[in-house]
Amino acid sequence: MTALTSEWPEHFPACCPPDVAPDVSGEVFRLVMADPPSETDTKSYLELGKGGKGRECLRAGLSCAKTREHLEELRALPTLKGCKIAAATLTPDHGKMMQTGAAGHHTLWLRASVLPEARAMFRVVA
Amino acid sequence: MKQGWPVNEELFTGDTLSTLEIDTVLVEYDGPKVALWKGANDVLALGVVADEDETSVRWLLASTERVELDGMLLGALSVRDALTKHDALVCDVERDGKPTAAWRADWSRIPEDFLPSRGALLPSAVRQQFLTSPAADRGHSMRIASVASPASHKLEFTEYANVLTAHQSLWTAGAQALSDKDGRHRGSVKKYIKQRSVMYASAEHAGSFEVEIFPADKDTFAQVGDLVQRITRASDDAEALVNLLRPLQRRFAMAYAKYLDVIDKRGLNVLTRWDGSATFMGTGTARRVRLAVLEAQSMGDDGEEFTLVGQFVSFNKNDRKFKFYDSEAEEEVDGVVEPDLELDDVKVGATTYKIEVTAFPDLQGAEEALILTALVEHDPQAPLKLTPSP
Repeated sequence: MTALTSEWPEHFPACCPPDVAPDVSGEVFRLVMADPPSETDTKSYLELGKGGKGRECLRAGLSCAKTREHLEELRALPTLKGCKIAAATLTPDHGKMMQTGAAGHHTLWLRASVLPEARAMFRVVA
Repeated sequence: MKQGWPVNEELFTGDTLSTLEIDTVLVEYDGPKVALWKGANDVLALGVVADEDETSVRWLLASTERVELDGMLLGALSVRDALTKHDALVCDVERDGKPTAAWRADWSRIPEDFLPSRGALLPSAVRQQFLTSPAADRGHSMRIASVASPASHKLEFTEYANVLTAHQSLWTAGAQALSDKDGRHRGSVKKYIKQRSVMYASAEHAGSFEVEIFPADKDTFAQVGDLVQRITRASDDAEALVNLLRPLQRRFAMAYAKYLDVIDKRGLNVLTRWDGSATFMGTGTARRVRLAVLEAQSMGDDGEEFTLVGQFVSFNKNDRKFKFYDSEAEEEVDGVVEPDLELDDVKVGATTYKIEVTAFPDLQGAEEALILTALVEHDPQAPLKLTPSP
């Protein structure tokens, strides 16, 4: 096993991401405030110190969607109205992603080796 | 928090805050964004995140009934309409989920930026998940809830009868309007249309005030339902509403306005379901939608003319008001004689007439105003028939 595929960021809690989380593959969509996306746009709640206590593994990941349409619908909500939709084409080398919580919501966990480049992975599409 | 919040409203205090907690997250992105909250006595509230900062999240909350939640999950009720029907409860919640402060606010004073977009439904992924659940499989049905007594599911006999009658009239008018796309037919509903749009009920689903409907024609039922759904969704957009109503007969707009009037005055929430689709109308939005429909119908409108055949049930020479029995539709209609029309001897009950009337919307009463513009004796040998057959 190479360092690329075995290393997760230090701030991830133990056993995170979950073993059942599949490798990410394909296009991934995320809401961002800036075009191009800023550093904050691709930092997790855990890194930003947000989200309160508990659910640390989820807060270590990034909220994402598998379809652009889902995020377009979310932009009807008050705190998400001004957001732009950014897309990234990812492979298993980038990390893992799985559906978590409410329908349509996914959490993306990026590997330590690619985390510094997270901002550059995403480009605004809408 | 952002600027613009109407913060000088009544502060809500008490033990209620400590009992508030999220029961179900419906939509999330970087934390919950739309959720069902549970308070004292298991009262449900719909909550939407309206604002947030580093330390807390500001929620808008409104009490919600199960029928409204199902309406949202079936795509028949927008998040905004479900939220804004009563006074708002604005609640600040710390990042660890603990409510810290709350106050009541008037929706009309909350800036648009802090509210869900008009007409926006729950995301399709959320609704699709519901459609695949057993709770979504209810066939053709109609659930009626009284705002005054949601927990007991009790309805007055009169409420029950009025909403079912208005519902049938709406579906019949819709079927007639959809079958007459060029708008040439005037007057009574055709009998074959009536027969296809009839709805039957033989049972209620146990434990609820939900009527199982057996439509005479399922396709007609679904087509009218889709039409009602489109008009309800367009009610926030005057131009879209006018365009939708223009090709339809006035009878449909009047029947819909009457249906909304019944729901509004009786304080009801009504969810009609079929094949995974639904229409919802609640007392909180019925008044707004009804006025939008009536105003759209009256825009640039000189009234709809049509012909009726039947007998006068009553005729008052002083105020020139009349009641006329439409022998084709087998129903009585009320009207008034046009000021310029001179009438000599109108025979009540003994003579069949063919009358020309013009219908105008009545924004105040939600009833059509029929104006009699011409009449002629149609067949003096026609049998006397003052009341409809049983």
